[in-house]
Amino acid sequence: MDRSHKQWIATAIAYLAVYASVAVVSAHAEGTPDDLQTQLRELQQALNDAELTNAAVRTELNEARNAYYNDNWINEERAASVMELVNDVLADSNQRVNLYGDGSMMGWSNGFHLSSADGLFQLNIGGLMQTQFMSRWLGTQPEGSSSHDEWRQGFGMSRTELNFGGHAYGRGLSYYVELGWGRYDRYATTNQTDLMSPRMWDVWIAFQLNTETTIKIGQFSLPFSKEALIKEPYQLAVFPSLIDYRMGLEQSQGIEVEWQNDQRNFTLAVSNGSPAIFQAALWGNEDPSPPWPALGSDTLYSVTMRHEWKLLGDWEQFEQFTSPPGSERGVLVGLAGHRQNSESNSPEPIGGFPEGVFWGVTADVMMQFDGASLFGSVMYERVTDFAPLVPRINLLGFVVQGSSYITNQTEMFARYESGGPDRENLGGDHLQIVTVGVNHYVDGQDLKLTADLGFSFGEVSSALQNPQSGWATDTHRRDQVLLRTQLQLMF
Amino acid sequence: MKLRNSTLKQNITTLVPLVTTMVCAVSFSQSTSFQQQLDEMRRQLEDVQSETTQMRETLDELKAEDLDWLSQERADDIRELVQDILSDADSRNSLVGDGLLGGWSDGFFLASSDGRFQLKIGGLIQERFVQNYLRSDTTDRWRGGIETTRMRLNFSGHIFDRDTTFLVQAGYGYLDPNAILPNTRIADRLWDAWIKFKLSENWSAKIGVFMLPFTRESLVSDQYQLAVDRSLIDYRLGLGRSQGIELTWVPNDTTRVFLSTSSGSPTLRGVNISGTNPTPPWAAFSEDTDWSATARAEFLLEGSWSQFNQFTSPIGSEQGMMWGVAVHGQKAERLGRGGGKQDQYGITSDISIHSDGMTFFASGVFHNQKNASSSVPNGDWIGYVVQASTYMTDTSEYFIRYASGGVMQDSLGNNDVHILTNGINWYLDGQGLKVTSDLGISFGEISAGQGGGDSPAGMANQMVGWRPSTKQNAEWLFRTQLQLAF
Repeated sequence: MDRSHKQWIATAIAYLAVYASVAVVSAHAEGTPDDLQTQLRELQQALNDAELTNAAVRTELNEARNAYYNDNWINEERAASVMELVNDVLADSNQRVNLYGDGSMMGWSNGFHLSSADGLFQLNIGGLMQTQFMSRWLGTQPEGSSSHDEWRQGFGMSRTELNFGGHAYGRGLSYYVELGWGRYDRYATTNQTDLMSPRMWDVWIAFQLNTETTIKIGQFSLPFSKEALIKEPYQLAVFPSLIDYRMGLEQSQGIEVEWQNDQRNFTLAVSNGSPAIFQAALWGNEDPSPPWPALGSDTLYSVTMRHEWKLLGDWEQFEQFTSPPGSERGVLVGLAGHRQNSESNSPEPIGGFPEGVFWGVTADVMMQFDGASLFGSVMYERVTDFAPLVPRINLLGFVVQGSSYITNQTEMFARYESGGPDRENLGGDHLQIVTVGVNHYVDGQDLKLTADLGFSFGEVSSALQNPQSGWATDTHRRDQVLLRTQLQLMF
Repeated sequence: MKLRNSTLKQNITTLVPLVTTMVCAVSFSQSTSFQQQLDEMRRQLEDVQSETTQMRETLDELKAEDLDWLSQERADDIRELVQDILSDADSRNSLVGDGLLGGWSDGFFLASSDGRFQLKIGGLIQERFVQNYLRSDTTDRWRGGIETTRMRLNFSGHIFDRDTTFLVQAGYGYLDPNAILPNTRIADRLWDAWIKFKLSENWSAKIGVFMLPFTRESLVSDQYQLAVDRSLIDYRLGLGRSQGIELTWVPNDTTRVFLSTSSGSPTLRGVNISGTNPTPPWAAFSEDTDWSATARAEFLLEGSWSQFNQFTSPIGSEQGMMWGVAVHGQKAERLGRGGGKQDQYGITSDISIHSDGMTFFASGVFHNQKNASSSVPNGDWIGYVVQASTYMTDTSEYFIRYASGGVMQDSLGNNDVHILTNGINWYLDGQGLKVTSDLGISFGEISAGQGGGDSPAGMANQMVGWRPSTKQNAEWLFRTQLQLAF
């Protein structure tokens, strides 16, 4: 083959190679480099936009997550929703009412208590401790006594009490029990006046018949003198007056009907009789105060009634003598009567004594002002066929007392009492005692300090003396001074 | 020159394809790189868009949840949480202290949250009006009055676990309920005071002061009696309370046995210390008995044990029948100072039938007492009681009881008691609030006994309301009682 053929063949192959290369390149490239650049730029732009959108969505998502999971998730609206839900749960659950104040099943609500969730049963548990220090000066040796202790002082606990009250089977039936240690004979009618022993003071069941009428059955203070009806922790002085210790009707057991509206209160009691004026000793009762056995010798009948007119104020404020600053004004007038006939022990009366009759009347007025109080009472009692040598006794007594607060917690008070039996062989009516004192209410009546100083300007007969109150028999005038202080804790 | 041109052509011909090929190669290579970049960017774009889409979906979900955040499910969760908190609050009770519960559950109670300790507080008040008439020429014919026969608080429950239980009943009542002494005082006293241990499924032991397991009338509590009070027969021939140990054996569901050893029964004046203190507790070394043992077996023929805790069978109650038999023996304390020893042995049996609103009960009791008095070396006491009841309405029940017996020897009063009692119970709120009235008529006599000490007791009992009567058909007794028990 010649060289020109060879050259032609080589040239052809070269061009073929070139065309093939171009074809291959053309086949692999979609476009020209300019097109690719354009596509690249467009794609970059799309990517940038997408990343911006992504960043925005991420930011929003992060905020949403923060809002969802962070501590401030419970905003006011949500808190209100949760609160509503919790209230629903509480309201629906009777078993959980102990978290509500009023429906508390146990705890403290003006006193310790246990109660049922439905409120049908409630037990209130309270207590009272009265601790005294007393000092007495007796100037002259008592007649008939071989010893004379001019100064006598000491500590005492006149009353340590637990009380259990409340209602059962509904609020219409209430009950109350007062148990504790105290003086066996606080009215000084036996020779056991210094004996401290277990005591049961009150025990009763009461039915509320309607909004105005209540009937009570059990052992309670007879509705006669106001001083006796105001319970021990709510007295003004350390102890009630000697007049009330002797002429007040004390406690008995029986049935009492009480009717009360806004202005008036009427109470009627039928009982085993009052042991006052040494009646229990006359009956032959071993115990000077109840409880007594039903078939024991006591009275044939005994009726006591008291009527109160409330001219001003609320009934509750007359359950205590004091009138704290800020309390409203109140005026109460009371009138009461009592009669009992001793049970005859046929065919012969007890000890040969005739059948005894004991009756009495009393009137009193209580006035309470904003931080001051005034009280006055008068009592008359008559006992017939007391004993063969004493066919009858008339007793007359009166008490006047007043108080005024000198600070919001401190109160000054004064009391004058006088009276006694008209029979000289029973000591006569020569009692005249002035008592001045001060109350410091650390926490109302619940924690109270009382101190009083009594001066006897008259005589204290053996019929009126009372070891609990501190007054000893003294037949001399202006011959006895008594200092009493008391710390009271009540809950 | 021609040659050189030819060579040049050849070179050019050779180079052109080569250059062209190289250019094509470069061009191809450049094109491939762009494509890769494009592909990479497309992938990134897709990733970003995909992620954005996912985030948007999550965001939408969050927004949706935010709009409906308190779903039913969450509300249930919160409700459950609140209840958990309340349960915890119950267990702690904010007002009292750690782990203390309190309130009312068929009685006032305080308890620990783990249930190991529980204190139940209950009470019983019985206010009674009594009117007695006695045809007598030597004493007050009419005698009546109101009294608080019983006022007691009871504290019971369990400590450490439910197998250790206790009961304390204290309050005010008759110091001498069995009329052992001529003591009619109502004063502070103790009724029951015991601790009971459950030893196994069948055995338990009680130690303290309790009613001796003898007559069923005595074993039914004061507040669950049918009449105002138990019969005169039971107050004398029942054993009353003593102090000691009592074992209870329950071999199966229909049998139970009580075994007791104690300081002895005082009711027949066989325990010297009861002449000073008529009811326990007594001092351990006081003059009581050398030994005293009491055993009672009860067989439940129908019904359940609990229905025999009381004498009544309210309307709607199931049928029940129980038979009981008991024995007792005690040997008086030997003091080395001579005198007759009042050893005594007794046996009793009773049958109780309860049906829907009706009951029937009968019991008989016998005691032999050595040296009942210095002149009577052997005294035999016998007594029986039959009573029945039927409801007139859902809350009122009529009952009737006949009681008879006494000591058989004429010199000691003879078995002279014959008392028929009719009465009505009005259950204002079950046994918790109940009014009972009954009228008893004595057709026989009621002996007074011979003083106190170790001389024989009579059948009279002022707490129950019956005064001594030496005439037949000479005495009746009306009693009304209001009972509050919680």
